[in-house]
Amino acid sequence: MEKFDIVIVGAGPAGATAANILAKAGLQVVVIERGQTPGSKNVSGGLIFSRIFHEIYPNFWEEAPVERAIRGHGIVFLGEGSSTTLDFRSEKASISPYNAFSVLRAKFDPWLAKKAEEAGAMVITGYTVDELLLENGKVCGVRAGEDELLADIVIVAEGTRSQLLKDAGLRDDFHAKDVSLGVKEIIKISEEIINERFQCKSGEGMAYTTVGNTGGAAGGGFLYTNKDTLSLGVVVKIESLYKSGKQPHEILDEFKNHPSIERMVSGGEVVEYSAQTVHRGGFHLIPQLYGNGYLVAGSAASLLLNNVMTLRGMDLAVASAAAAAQAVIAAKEKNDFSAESLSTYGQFFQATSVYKDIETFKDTYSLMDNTNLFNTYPNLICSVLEDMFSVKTTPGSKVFQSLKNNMVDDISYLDLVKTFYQVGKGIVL
Amino acid sequence: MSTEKTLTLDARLGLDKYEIDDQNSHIKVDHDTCQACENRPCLTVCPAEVYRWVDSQVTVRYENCLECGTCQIACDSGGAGAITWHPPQGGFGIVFRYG
Repeated sequence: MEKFDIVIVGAGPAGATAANILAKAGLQVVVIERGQTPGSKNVSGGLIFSRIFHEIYPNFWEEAPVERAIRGHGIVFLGEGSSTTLDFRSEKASISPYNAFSVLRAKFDPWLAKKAEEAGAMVITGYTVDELLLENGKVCGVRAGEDELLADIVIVAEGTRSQLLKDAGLRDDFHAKDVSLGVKEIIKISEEIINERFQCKSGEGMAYTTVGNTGGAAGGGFLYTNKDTLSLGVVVKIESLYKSGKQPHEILDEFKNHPSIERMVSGGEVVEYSAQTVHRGGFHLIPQLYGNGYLVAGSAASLLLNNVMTLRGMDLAVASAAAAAQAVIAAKEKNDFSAESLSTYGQFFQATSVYKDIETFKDTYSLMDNTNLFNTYPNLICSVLEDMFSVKTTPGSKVFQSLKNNMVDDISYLDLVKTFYQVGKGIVL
Repeated sequence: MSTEKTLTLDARLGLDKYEIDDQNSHIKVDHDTCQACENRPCLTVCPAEVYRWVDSQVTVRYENCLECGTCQIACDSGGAGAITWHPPQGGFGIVFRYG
């Protein structure tokens, strides 16, 4: 039976990054990826926020297959037949080191895996790891089909489903209120049309996040510009989805047929339909990241940060992987692979900006429980603006009266105050 | 490929690339447990409509699975816990070309 220093499950951003750092440190690393090629099982929105990647992969945009540098972010409130957009654009975001890039995982992940290989890691593709091997309560390797691979340490970077940890009884069950389903279409459209429609030069693009018009389910939508495709999708809480009684593709259709979205994607050709579970994330939901003989990084550890403005997953994956790698190197020096020895992972991770950001935005968790956010408020905002921009033959009113008229039946002043408080606590103060 | 305003689900799935394992399903359903389920969230939440209710029991079109993992969470959390989902064997299943 083969024995390695480190076996890593999954060649996504977390797995490939841990492999890269550990191979550079001179350790013998093997990464096992179930896709025939890295990225072929992966779906993201997908935006990569650059700066944390840049620390590990300096100037990655010069060689990595990124789509567009995101120079503008829009937050869109979708009402019935109307929409309101907060449209932010920044020149700073379109110059080095940039803020974010749109990426397509099937193209981007092979590059990450290649970097890990160049660093000296072995990447094996097309093998599904079936279980973690345990000996005296310590993870000592993995089984893939009939092959067993032993290792001092296993890094679990298998993505959102976190199946191996579930099967081994090493994590709690996920709750349907804490995990969302994202469904997505890739829409082919020419580079020139994207440039014109989104007022961007080649190489730069826009990222829109939307609320409202998700069939009453709690969640939102997104539209990101790639080089010559658009990534369009909705992300809804699983619990809310089955309570809504609507199927995911029906919600996607409803979203896509909203006139404001329809105009952004019109003339495009759908070339792929995909789906992925997305953790809700949350400070109190960060699990135990290590145990005897193993560490968990990236989405397998439910790491996600949604603070309304940004939805971050991949940079959390690489930051946690880098912290995990540091802990592995320290454990290897001591030749001690116990949970206690690997607990430095927790300390290294807590020292990252990522961890501090998750803590800073810990109150967005309860904000997202406010179901009015996903339907009532987007409609209300649009209705009030409809009143304000419309001239009628009957006397009009000021904002407050319009708000009062439009609030009827839906929400009370108390709801409004509660929401202001939650928004304030979540993202303002 | 399609320029239709709204695609049917089957048309969408038809755009995707799969390596189908025609010997083994990666999804197992315990039908006795499943019968006791009142909510049957799997019939709603699956983005590929893998689960359908046919002749008083659930059928599994595993070959259409997009491997998101939603069914497992919905079944455990809001159903009877009858579904056991594992990734398909190496190289099989969905192959995203964009992702």
